[in-house]
Amino acid sequence: MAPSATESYPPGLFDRLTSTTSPAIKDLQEAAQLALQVEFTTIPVYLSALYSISDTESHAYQTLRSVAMEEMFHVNQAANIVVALGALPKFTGDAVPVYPGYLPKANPKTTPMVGLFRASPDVFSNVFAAIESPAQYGAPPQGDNYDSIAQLYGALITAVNAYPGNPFRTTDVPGRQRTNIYLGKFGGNVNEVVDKESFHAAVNEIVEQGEGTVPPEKPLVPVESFGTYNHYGKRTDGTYGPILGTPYEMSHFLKFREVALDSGNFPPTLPIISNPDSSVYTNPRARRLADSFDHHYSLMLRAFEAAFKAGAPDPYFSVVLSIMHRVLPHLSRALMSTPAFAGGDGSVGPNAAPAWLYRSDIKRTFEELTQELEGEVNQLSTSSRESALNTHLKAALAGDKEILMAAEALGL
Amino acid sequence: MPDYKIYPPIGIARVGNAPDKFYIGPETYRGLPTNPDGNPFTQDDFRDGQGRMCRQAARFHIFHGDEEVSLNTPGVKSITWTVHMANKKASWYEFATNEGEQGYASNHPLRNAHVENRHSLIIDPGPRQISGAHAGPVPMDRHTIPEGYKGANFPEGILYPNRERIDTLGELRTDESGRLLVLGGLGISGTEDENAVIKQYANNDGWWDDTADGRVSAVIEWENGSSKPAETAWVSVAPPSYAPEIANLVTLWDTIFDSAVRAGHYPRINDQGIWQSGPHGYKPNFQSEIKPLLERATTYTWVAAIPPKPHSFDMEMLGAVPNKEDHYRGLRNWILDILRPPADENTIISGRGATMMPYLAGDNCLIDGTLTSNFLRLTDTQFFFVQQWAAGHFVNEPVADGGPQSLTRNILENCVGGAFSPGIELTWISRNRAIYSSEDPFRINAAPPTEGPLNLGFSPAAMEPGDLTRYMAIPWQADFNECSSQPIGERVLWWWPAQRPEFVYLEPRPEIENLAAIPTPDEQTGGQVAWIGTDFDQLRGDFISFADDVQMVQYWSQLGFVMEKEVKGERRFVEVARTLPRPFTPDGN
Repeated sequence: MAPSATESYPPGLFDRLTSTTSPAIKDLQEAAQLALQVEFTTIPVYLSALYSISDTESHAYQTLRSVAMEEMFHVNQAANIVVALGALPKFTGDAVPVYPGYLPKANPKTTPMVGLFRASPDVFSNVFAAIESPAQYGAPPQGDNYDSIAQLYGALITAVNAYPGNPFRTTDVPGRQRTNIYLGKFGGNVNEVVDKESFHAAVNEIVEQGEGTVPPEKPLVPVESFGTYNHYGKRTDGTYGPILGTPYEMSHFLKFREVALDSGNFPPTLPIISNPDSSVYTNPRARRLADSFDHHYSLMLRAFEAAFKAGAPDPYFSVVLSIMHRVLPHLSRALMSTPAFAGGDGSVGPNAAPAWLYRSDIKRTFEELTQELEGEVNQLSTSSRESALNTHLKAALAGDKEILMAAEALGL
Repeated sequence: MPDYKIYPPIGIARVGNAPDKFYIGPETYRGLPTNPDGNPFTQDDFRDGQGRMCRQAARFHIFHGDEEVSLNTPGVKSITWTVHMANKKASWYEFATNEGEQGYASNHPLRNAHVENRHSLIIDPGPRQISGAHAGPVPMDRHTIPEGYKGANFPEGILYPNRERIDTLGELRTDESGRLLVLGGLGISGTEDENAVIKQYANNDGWWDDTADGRVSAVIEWENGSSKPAETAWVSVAPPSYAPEIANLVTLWDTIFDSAVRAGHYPRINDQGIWQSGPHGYKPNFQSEIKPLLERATTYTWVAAIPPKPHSFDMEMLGAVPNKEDHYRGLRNWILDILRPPADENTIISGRGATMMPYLAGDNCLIDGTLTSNFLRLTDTQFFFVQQWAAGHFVNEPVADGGPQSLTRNILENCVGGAFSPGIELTWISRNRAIYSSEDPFRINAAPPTEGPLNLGFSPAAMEPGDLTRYMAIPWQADFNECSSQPIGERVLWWWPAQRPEFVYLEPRPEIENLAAIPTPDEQTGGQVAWIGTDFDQLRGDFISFADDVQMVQYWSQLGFVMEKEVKGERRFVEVARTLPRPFTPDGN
């Protein structure tokens, strides 16, 4: 729904970006940081739903996983834009998304309410597909709000184009761009942003991957010198296999739409609480695990922010990737197997779920987090009802122990 | 134990249809072949002047410790080589994935079960000898059977569809220093049945091919009149290697080495069945035991349709040995976690939702049952190395290349070590420790010379000519054609892209100078194309293969090779020396 012409908006970031012939670098930085936060906001939303799906081989799980991973690519690429504009990407403090809510600075009248939900066909269609919905042609963002992610990028592109000269720098900036942290088979390549051209290429890749504005038969990059079989996915011959470029069918929007329409085959999910709030839990273990999750998450965000700082030790491969890959997924599933309320049954629910809260109130060291988790593992019973919890907590603890030394060396 | 040994203990020759011109198989890992005249190998050397595919000779050396002994060695008067090869494929059991690896069951069918005279199903020219420098060719054909040899046999009639006869299993030559060169057959396969129908990938009654294997022995005669035998080796003839510079993730060396490690030959790695793990255990060398695995994944992107990004690795980070600080453990773990672990041969998606690697078909994805093994995995030893590396227990040191052990490793690393269904050079018989010497983990127990006829059974302590290749597909072209892609569940997996390419890159076509015409961009320029067949439908009969296996029997020698070249200023692996038209439509006759 497009906003009606009679409504008026106070002049905001988007007015400043789109109505001037010489936008301020500060506004460009703010818009790029906003893009980063918008991309980031989607990740916990997707991951909460992802971990609630118990069959990792299911089409819904695989689809959602591929989108969540590609959002990490978008975050990385947006962070590079922020760095090239001379600012430091922010991942902590008020840059951390709060749920439930709207995408940062999104128009509440035209964009979906996003939250942390147990996966279902309705969540795929009403939340996920809505987040990634294509832009309406020619509708510019107004005031401080936008109606779609593409519109937000549109405003940024307009402003960068209007900027006299090259707003991007690779030297004498406080940040460092990263092109080596987006791992795996998923779409897109993170590139360094050095000028308007590389900026356009970067933004196009993000927007087209999200919403798929490319005609179906065209690969995203029309002529690549080699390496054209970039993705594996559902092919037009109906099988799973190598795919040329990024066709329209692989846009996030259509991927979600496809899962939502095939509701009969939607996989089983864990009985988790949506938009969880651990303060209402009456099962003490659920509260402790929720707390542990939030502290791990917060520590990871601080380390991630540091990974983009020039000249500082790089915690990415020693701490960030390990928490992301070997700790948080297991803690999530441990939480999701734990009844939120005293005396509950984990197979019936309602079970706890990660709240993705940024904790700056109490800072715990990584060593404390590891010790707490070890205490939690020691308290586990050997009951077969708790076997999933058992497996996941032990895996998370093993992950913690691997990170411990590196985290201490970095003073985390 | 003799002081003199022939190396490599297992040498690989490859078929070709050029009668004279040949090259020597690569003796370096991922290397190009060698020209007999010593000139640098170019793309023109894959074929002779008439466009026929050259045979690849297996070269054998004699070593005394680490010193090579040849006709150039002072005191050596002569070296006499004896080779006895045979093809026992038609006389053996049918190949049915891994059934038979632990011994055949009583109901396991024989090939050509109706033929009573089983010896008539063996191709056996008897032994041949050669000595001197630049000697030969000494043919192993039907016309030169040694006097007194009782087991000689060749298929009688004209073989269809190509109307050819199998008259020879190859020939012997020597090089300038008297080293042995063994050339295999001419790639002739066929059946006396004029309809020439291939019904399946591995077992086709009535069919023959001219691959073979057998023992290689040598006697060194000294100028003082004494002589000394060298410990025997084995030669095996295989299909062509169409991408010699690209290696398989699991090579034949890895597979035989793994069986030797688990049998206790390398107690530093595995002592009495216990893996030597942890900080004080075995520390794999990144340069020789980890990096090659990652590079193999990278080079696969040139011969299979797989995404390059996740197969590209930062070797500096991954090879950084942790001292006080370990900056890259997360990255190493990330790789460990997507590798299919032992006992997970049927897992494609891990518990975390990741697609497990390698994305290659396994030993048994064809027959349902207790032995199902859908997907390939690293050998136990390779996986152990990766585990130790991920945990930070590794070294990063240059490796000295040279000497007989390196020669063995290099030659076998250019061969397929799995999946064995049945495979390219050898199948699962290669990991049966019973066929190897208990003292020399790569050396096959050779039976003493025989006057024939050859044994029809299995005697691992005394292996006979033909006992290694008889498990392979008959004709080899059937398996070679079909084993391109494999539907397993909802996925289509790849087989041996490093040996049998699936998708290749072409060299850019020369630009036609026509200023009048408006240039049109070609979206396929520089893109991957199917090596054989079509690529748009994974369910089509000719998806990256010939629709009919018989077409592989007809056209195998015209297929292109993949070679590293500089294209537009970049190093790329591109298809060269193809004589089959592209696109190619078989005439249907």
